[in-house]
Amino acid sequence: MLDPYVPILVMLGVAIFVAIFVITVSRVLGPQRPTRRKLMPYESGMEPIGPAQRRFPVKFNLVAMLFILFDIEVIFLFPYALIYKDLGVPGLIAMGTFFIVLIIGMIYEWKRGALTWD
Amino acid sequence: MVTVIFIAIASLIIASAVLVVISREIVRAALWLIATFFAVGALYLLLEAEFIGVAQVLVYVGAVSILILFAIMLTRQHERHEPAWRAGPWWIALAGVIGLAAVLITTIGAVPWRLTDDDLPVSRAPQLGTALMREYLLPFQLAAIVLLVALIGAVVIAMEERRRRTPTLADDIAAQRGAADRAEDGTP
Amino acid sequence: MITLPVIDWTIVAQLLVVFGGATVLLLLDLAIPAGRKQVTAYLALLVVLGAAAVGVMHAGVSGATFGGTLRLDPFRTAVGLVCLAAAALSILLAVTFLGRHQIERGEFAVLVLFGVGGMLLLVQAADLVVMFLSLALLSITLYVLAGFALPEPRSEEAALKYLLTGAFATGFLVFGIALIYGATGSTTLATIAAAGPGLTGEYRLYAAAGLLLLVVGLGYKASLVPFHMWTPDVYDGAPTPVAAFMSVASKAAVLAALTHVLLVGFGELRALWAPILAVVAAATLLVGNIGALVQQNVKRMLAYSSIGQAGFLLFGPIAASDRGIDALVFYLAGYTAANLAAFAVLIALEARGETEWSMARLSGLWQRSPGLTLALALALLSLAGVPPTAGFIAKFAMLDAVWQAGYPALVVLGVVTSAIAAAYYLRVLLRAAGPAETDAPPMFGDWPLRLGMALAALAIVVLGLAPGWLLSFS
Repeated sequence: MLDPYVPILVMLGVAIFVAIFVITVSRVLGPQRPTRRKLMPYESGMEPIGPAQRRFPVKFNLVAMLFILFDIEVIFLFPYALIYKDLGVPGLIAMGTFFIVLIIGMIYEWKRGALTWD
Repeated sequence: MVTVIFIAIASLIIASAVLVVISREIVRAALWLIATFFAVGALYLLLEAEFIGVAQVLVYVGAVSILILFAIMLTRQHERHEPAWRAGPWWIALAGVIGLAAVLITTIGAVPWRLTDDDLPVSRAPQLGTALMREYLLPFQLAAIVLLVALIGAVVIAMEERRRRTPTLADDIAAQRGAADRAEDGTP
Repeated sequence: MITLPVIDWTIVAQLLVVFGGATVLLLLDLAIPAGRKQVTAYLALLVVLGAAAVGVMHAGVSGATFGGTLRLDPFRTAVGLVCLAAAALSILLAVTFLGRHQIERGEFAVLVLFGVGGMLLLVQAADLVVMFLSLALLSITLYVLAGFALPEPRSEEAALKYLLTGAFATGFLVFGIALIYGATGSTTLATIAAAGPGLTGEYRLYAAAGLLLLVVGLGYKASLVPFHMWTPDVYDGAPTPVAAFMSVASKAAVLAALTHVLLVGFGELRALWAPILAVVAAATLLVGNIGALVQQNVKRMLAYSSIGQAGFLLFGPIAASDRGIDALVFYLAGYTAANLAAFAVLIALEARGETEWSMARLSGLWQRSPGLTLALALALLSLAGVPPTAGFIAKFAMLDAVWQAGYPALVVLGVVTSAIAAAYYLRVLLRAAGPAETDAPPMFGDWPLRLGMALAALAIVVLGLAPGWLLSFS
């Protein structure tokens, strides 16, 4: 019964192997001549500014909330999509009200100005 | 074979859950929590509840963990090393946890579980959809309202947070640039 | 073809009014300019009154819908009306308070509507999953409302504490529901009850463990000892109208749900849960009232007093009789009116930036405003259970119910703790009647606040003098 998962297991094994292999090989074979510039944290090629862990603006969180909202909505949509023909119009109404309530949430967040970036 | 896989997944869950609790670095605790979510998803697959497993990965690993990481990044990091409060004695917590575990393990162990090969009403996506539209129609609709209220709450609190905006990285860069410019001009 | 359950629209009408009104108001509020958010509050008040009208029409209606997961009967209708009344009065008390404290935002009224919708659902739920979701709904709204005065650090602290303890309690609740489902194979209370007698030893143990976890989860929300620790901090830090709202309405809804779980779902296990609940009630009475005795902060005193009142409310499910249920409804109505009146007096005396509610601020109130003192006296005397207020009849009915059920020790404890309670309530009243000790705090007496306070005070008197019409509703 778990046969379909054997390829995934194999892939998992390959992934772990490759990761460990690459790191070990570069550690063993690669020349190690550290300089101050090489040891600096990589920040897209520019001089690092300030500590890496600092407070982020809260607007990211609002976008993340919206993401969760629609993520969960999609999860509920999947089982519905598989049986919508059997459900007919009443099912469409039930799914529609679920959808509309969440859309109202998005309209609210949008109009309230929570998604404007500055 | 199934038992071996189960033991592997279960030890993964327990180990990562313990690491969530004992990690001192909060970001590491969050990452171990994500590992726990993942392993629980694997457990659902083992139970042949594929859809729940996929949903677990999509919602918890994909979305909830992102929100947790954002929440960590939104908090004031510089206060991290000096906790303002002290936790109570650890042995009280340990005794409580062991007591709860003992009660739960003995109760769960005592029950002769009804094992079934039939599909449970929620194990596969079509059955889940049917259950959502019939037995759980009201909870299904309620879930939408709960999500809506959570969104309103997040907006109410975050908009207030935005009004008293704390300096961000961009502000820091601008401030440093400004300082450098002033230094070049020779003005203090 | 899969057929959806038939929905009985008469039963869900009240919920539709509240949730429909809340959603429409959420969008409508976007069009209301920032300075005029009072309009939103008054519209929300209309929605609550509409829902209450539907509730009045529901009198005598019994039935179930959504496959038996949602029920309506006279008890549920009555507790629902108490919750709606609490919401209406809280909105009245908050309308001008919010503007005065510069935290006026349209979402306040919308969140109160969603919160009261969650409470109605929790009261009407006959299924553990529905209970869980409605509890989540009302908890989320209360977390946000507790932090509504957000730049204020105390409000922020209150919201965070409430959120963390609430999340912890939710964990217990879910675990309990899972265990019960494992033992009985259902989450619907009627099915759980039907499965009860057939459970063999181990499954019985299992269901009992689930029930206890469930009681822990609900006990947190109703602030029963030993799960009461959050209450004083949250009531103290939350904006005062919010503290008023959650001290009455959420307690009423959670107590109703607890009663349903215990009496409908697990009536068969009564021999197990009744002694445990009696001990919890005794501890709640003692801790709440003795805790209130030593408080110097009026808001914290009211928080501890509300813990003590929760102990009395538990007598309803412990008695497990029609008498107990009647007494529970009456007690909830009287407690709601009295607590809201007491908080209304605090709101009338609270200017912006006042964070510490020391008892000295009430001193000399009699000379400055006899009206406010009268309202405060009515509220506190009713909370203490002095005749002829509603509180007296309520306490008497409760004590009578547990006496009939065979718990003389609880009756004695109830009387003793009521005497302790009378001591600290009278202490406040004596301060109010005595000379002024500090600079007179400003007083606010705009009409919505006056109206809310007057309605609450009127309810105390009417329920006290003519209790019959509510006491014999079932």
